[in-house]
Amino acid sequence: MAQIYDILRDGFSYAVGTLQDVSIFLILLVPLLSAILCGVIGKKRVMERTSVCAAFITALSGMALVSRVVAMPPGTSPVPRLGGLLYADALSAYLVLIICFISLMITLYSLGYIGYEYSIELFGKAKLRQYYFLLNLFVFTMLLAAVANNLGVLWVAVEATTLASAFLVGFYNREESIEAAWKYLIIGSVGITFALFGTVLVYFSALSVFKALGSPGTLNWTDLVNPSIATQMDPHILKLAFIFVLIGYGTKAGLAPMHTWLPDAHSQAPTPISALLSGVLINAAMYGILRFHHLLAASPVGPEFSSNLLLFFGLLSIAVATPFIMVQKDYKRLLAYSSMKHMGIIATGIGLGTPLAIYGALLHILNHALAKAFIFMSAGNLSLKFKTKEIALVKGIAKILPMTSALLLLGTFAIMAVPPFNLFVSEFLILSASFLGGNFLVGSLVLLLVVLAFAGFIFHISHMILGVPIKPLPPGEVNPSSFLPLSILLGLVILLGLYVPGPLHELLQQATKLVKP
Amino acid sequence: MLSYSLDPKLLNQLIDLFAAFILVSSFLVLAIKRLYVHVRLYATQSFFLALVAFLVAAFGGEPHIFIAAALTFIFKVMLIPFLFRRIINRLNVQQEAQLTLNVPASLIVAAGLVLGADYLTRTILETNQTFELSRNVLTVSLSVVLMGLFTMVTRKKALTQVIGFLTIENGLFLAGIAITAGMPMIVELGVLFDVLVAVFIMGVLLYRINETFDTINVEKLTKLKG
Repeated sequence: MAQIYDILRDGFSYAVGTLQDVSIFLILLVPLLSAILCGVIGKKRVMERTSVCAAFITALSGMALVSRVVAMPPGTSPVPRLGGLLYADALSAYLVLIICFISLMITLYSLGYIGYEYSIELFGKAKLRQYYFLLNLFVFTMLLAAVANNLGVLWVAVEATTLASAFLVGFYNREESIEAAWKYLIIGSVGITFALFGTVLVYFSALSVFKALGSPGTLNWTDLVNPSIATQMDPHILKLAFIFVLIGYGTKAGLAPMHTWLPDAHSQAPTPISALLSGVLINAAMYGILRFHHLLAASPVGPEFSSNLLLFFGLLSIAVATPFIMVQKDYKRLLAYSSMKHMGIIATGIGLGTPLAIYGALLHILNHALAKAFIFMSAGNLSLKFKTKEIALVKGIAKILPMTSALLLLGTFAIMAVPPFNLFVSEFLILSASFLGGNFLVGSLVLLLVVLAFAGFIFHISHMILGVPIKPLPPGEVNPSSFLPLSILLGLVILLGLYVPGPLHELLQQATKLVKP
Repeated sequence: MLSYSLDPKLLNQLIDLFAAFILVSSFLVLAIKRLYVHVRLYATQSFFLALVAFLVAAFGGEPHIFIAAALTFIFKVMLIPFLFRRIINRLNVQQEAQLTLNVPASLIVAAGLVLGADYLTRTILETNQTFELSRNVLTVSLSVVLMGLFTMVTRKKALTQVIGFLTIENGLFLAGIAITAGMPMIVELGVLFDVLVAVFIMGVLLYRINETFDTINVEKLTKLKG
């Protein structure tokens, strides 16, 4: 009996080990295969099941990847794969975790949301196939960006996220959605060409160092941050490169003043896609900036230059987003501007540069992704029922959709960082780090803007929830299957507000060291 | 490897010459209003780009750029312009491009952009790095990027915006060749693939814009505000 138990245990640990080994490939292959399957088959049932299964397997592999990275003894670096093209450290594993989990929730939510719109014949079968194909492809490109080691491949992957999601933004083929898709595609593609120029410049400054050492030039991040290379790179060129990279990836991350595509795309895309753009995509772009930030910090330039730039653009983004939140007329745009505000807070936290602030900013990325997906999903249920995105036309949700209105209210508190929700913790960490570090001006400015945005947000949402319905709609939820992902997200939003679990804490601490060595 | 060689000075002069042609074609896009000519100018520019890449590959000792040169020729000189001509024919677009800034003013601004690019590359040069190619090529590439951006901002046709985007990409490709003798192969291929897909998607969206708005004038795309 004991022998059988031993064999089973060995087999299990062997299986886990193997899964950890191949997880970096699985998270890429599974979404890609699922996209191909959905594109080929095109039957509603099959596509839904394939997507959910794929998202689930990807999430499991993502967990395996995280567990492998966390378990690494300190000082050893993870083995790059595919000739150095792929690589995962704590920072990329953290991003992989967020992408995998949120996309699983989004896929679950899509079943009800897209299924309902399909059932009322808002679009046809070909469109449905396009949706699931692109959804899986979109997730694939983001995961590729997360585990790319080569900075050029990172660029290719981030540009591919734009390409995969452009048709999703323009999904409904209305005037507004086509306009949004065009803006998204043009601003996203052009903006990101700046990041390519920055990457070329980094390669340029590294190339002479590589040549002096007698090795062939490479753009692999692991090689570039190697002290023997990084400390020799030319600081002038690196500074210029970082400015270009910040403009490029900052465009995709929704930093002001390059943010103009963001509210349009978020408001016009189908709600599950809005949640994915807001909760995950802009973080993937931010991740690109963080990689270069580390590179600059390891080089003779030092961390101040890029930190100050991030701090400036972070504060600017919060400042630009706040008035738009206060006078907003469209509730999906309201959420979009709130994303911009939170990206600003994250950039500010990174820019402050103390370990506490960086820890808070990284935690804020996860917290924002969870809370934003949660509130977008609630708002999606609302728009399915009311068929409008205008705040003025939605009144009395409490009477018509009691469940959704409760969730929307909780989501509002969560996204506005009210305790005991998770965003409070991370925002508090960033603010206290700024006061501890003597940055009183930054801290008070952020605090002031956050309070203003809170007032605006709660004003809009309370007007929507309370009041007498303008049109008499029959009460009743239209998307009951959404309550599964919604309740999971709600649970996590509250749980992470109460404490940060041990493994996550460990992962965050390792990732903090990777943002600023 | 290739046994014949070229005097490095002559090689640099040739590359400078072709880079000048690349710059001139960017100027002409701003000076001429007809859409067909824009497409042809893009093809011409790409042709000189392929030539520069070919020269670097053949005589600069970087044989892996041959592939990039060949792909540039196939896609940017032949395929993409061909697709554009089809789109123009199908959409029946009015030939004259509408401008928000007239031609003389555009050209003056463009000249200013070139000067700015020159200043920026000068600061890079101050850092005593050895250049793969002469600084002129880097100046040209940055100018082409800036002028592509300028084209996108001041021309109202959605199609011209796509041309502007492609011009920017050409400038970046030139920069990659000029200062680093090409990026690693996988990056080169990935970028080219991305650009192709981007053009394809932009083409499809152009059709949709034309269907929905009855024009490809981007000034009509103003529903989303605030």
